[in-house]
Amino acid sequence: MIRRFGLVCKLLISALLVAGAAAALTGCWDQREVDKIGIVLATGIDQAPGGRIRVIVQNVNPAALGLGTGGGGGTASLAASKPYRNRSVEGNTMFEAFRDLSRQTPRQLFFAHNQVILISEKLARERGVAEIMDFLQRNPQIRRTTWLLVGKGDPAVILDEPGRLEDTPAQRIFGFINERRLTSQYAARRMGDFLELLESESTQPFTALIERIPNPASPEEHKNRLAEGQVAEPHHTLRINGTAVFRGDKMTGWLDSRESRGLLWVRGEVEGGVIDVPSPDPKGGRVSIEILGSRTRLQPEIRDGQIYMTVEIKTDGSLGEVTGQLEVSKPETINKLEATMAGAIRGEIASALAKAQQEYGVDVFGFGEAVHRKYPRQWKEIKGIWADLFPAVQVQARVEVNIRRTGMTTNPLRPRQK
Amino acid sequence: MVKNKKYRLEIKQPRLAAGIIFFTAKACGLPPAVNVWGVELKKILETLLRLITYQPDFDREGFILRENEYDRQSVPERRDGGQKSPGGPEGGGRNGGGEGSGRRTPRRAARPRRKDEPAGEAEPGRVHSRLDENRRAVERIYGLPANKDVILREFSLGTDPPLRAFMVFIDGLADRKSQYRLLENLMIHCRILRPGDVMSASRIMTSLLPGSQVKNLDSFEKIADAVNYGDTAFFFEGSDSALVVETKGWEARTVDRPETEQTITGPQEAFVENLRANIALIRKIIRSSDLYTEIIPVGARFRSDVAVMYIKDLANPDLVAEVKRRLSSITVDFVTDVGMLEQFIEDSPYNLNPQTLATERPDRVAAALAEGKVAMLLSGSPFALVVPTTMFSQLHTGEETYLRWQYGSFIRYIRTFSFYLALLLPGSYLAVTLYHQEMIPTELLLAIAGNRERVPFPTVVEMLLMEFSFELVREAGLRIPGIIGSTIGIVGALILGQAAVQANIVSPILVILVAVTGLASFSIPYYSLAFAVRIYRFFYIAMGALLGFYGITIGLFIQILLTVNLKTFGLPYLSPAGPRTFPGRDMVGRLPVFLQRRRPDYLNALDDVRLPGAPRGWVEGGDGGSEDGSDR
Repeated sequence: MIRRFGLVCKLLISALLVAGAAAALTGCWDQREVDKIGIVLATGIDQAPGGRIRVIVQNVNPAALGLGTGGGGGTASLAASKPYRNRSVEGNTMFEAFRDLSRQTPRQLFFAHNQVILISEKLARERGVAEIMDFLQRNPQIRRTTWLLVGKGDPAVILDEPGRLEDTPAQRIFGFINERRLTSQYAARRMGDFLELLESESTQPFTALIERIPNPASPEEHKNRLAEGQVAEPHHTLRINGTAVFRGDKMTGWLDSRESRGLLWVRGEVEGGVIDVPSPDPKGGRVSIEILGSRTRLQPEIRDGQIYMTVEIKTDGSLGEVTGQLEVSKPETINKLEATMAGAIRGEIASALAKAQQEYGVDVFGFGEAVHRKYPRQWKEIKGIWADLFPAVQVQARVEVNIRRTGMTTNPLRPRQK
Repeated sequence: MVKNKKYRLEIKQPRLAAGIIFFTAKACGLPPAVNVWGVELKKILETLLRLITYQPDFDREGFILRENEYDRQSVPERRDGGQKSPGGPEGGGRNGGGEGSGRRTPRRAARPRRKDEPAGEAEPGRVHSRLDENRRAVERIYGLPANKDVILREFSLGTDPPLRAFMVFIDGLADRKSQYRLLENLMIHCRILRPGDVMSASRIMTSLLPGSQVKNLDSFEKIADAVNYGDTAFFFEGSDSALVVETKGWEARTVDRPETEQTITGPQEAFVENLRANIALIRKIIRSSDLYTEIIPVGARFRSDVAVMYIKDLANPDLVAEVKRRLSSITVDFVTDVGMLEQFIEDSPYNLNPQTLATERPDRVAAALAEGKVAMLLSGSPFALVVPTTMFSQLHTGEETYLRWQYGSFIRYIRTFSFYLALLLPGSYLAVTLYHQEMIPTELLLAIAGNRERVPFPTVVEMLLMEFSFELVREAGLRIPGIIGSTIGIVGALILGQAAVQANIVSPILVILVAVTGLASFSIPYYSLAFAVRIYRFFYIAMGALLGFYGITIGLFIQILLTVNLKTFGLPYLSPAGPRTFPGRDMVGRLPVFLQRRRPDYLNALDDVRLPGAPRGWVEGGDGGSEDGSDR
């Protein structure tokens, strides 16, 4: 027994030694303390003179997020309490530029929590995104679920527009996109989806466009009231405005809110939002209907050498607001409303089609894929000339609207006294 | 001789050192004055060494704890009168240990026995028919009159003619009241006997001694065994055997509530230190003539009784035989608790997981017996050892069976979850925060990073610090005298919680983590298993800190390998999950009692069916649940 115990001890010690040596040899090479990494929440990419690339990273300052006040206290200065830091550097390639950032940042940058990649419109229009996508695709830390946006103007400006509710502009933009179903007025893509579109045979990439606008909530006369102790609203604010569409890897145009929703209708990605139609009441007024989700089917048909596309959309709605007088309680009214709403949806689709087919000539709808799926043999012949065929595709939209609810009341308020 | 050699070795060193100095000085061609100085240095060194090493000083210490005979020869003899041993070491056999001063036997086995030493038992030790002989023998065995708590009372029977007799018992172990009655009978009431009757021990046993358990013994060894356990021995003139009457009656704890296995529902009795009472507690629950209790003596020098309990027509006979085989093969000085016994009979002493189940609840033992398991009770231990046991039964308490099945299952799922929590939470936290930061939700990562910003230590150190402090509080809380026990809560809460965070020694999230881990480990009902989990946890902390989730995976792999290979009394430790056997609907989730128709399959009980017929006979169909009524 004692001998066996000794043997076990010897085995254990040697195993420990081997394990220890193995552990020491690897040296915990990718171990990093949470507080020693520079967490990047947003990345901006811009063009720089001389064919170079400029990157902007938004580094979060966790201690200033108001989470780490464990009672240590102290009077941190305003600058130290800024929850984020933007740093910018230029380089010939993305990788070189990012690595060059380590000369500015005390901590190793950590991209796995990057929420937003912001590509400047200039870069997207002039140089194209293909060469920057390689790094984003290759780097293991950058996730394919990161939102990819096109930014109007300098990314550094957009990424330095703090909000009141969220701590960093990155979280703010992320918050916008998470609420996208409330309007469905822009088509944001994740990086992975964008990459798929880039590599698609027929469908062209697109993604949402963000811009900085003067803040209408910051009135002119309040601008200098800081002395009175009032914190003024920021002079500018961020807004996602429509969808940038690409031809190949270069941005070629832009769809406004209405056209963007038309795009989403065809792609079957409308999950919500408000549609505004004129009231069927002859005296006028308007009706706003909330969209409760949609289903879309694309049915291509090749007849006599012409490609026809039938877009079947089924959607549900809920009455959100009625101005003027309308007998909402009558089924006929609802039927009329449904017909009007269907017309409005068809109008949105038509506007998107007009822009995409006639003006830009880019298939962002996925028509090519639908044709490919239904006519795989013919597709082989036409895929080479799809860009030329696409503008001539005859599209017919069939919309079926079903208004399910009318809200907490039926007929609108009618003041009895004159 | 040995010692002398040692001393020489010790003195060698300064000489050597001084010699080296001396010769270096010479070799360097230093003047002879330096040589002289070198000799001085040698003396100084020797003195220094004498000061810092142990030098025996017999005159000052006055007493030497000698190791053996060889010691006696090597050190100067300085015996005084205090060490005279009256009987010499050779008398009394194995029960003479109480007299003790001259005997130094613990090392006897390690040393070759010398020719002139007495070889063990000198005489057979039979009871003589002459009372004086017996008296002398008893005095020799117990070292009377030096041994003060062994009482030898002489009296004569009130017969005609009076019969000389004496009785022997140990003061405090034997019950006075029953002794009074015995003496009363022997000395007074025996006058009813006709004069001239032959007063043999057996005659007295049948007609005079009112004790309920009387044995007629003629071997001094057996008599002493009984007397050492509280019985009273009666010797009579002319009888070559003695009567041993059961008079056990010592101060003992009464049956109390369970201390370590508390439940809200169910019986609230716990075992005590009294073997007979413990057996009775079990018998009270299982009222069956098939419940067998076999007593197996354990302990080479000081005897303890182990009661092996099982149900004859349920427990697998091979299992019972194996338990008895292991118990009877133990050679140990003495055993005080089943915890010691456990270490002698368990299959894999080097594995961390406990392989037996020690419980202080009679109802739990009864339930195990009814499943076909075997229980061991040890005299003097308030715990019963149940074998074989699985890890699942170690994670159970009796309470879940007493509760309705939904509640019982809920508790068990919580407990299973907390088992993993206690095992893996700190390690996983380290792995995530050191290697896999991308796995944490962004907001949480920012919170953790913000908290850690001011902490000076690496996360591993922080974690070990907190875990160590927690273990400290736990251990100190156990050892702290009850009267100042409330201090520990304040100290623990304040130091571990508030102050450490405020001083930026640890981050608050870690305090929460360690607290949750601690709570989780307390929720493991079996103390030994909780211990194993506590130790394994540190293993996972190391693996997580060194290799991240990769390391934790390696650790889990190793642990599962070790645990799956474990067997307890022929039963795989992880059954019924390890090798998949029929689970009996009582593993993690617990189905209604009336659906548990069969005993656990892995036990191979003699009778497999627990619920014959219709368990809920008043319901149409008879089982109140499953349609087919079969246990599938």
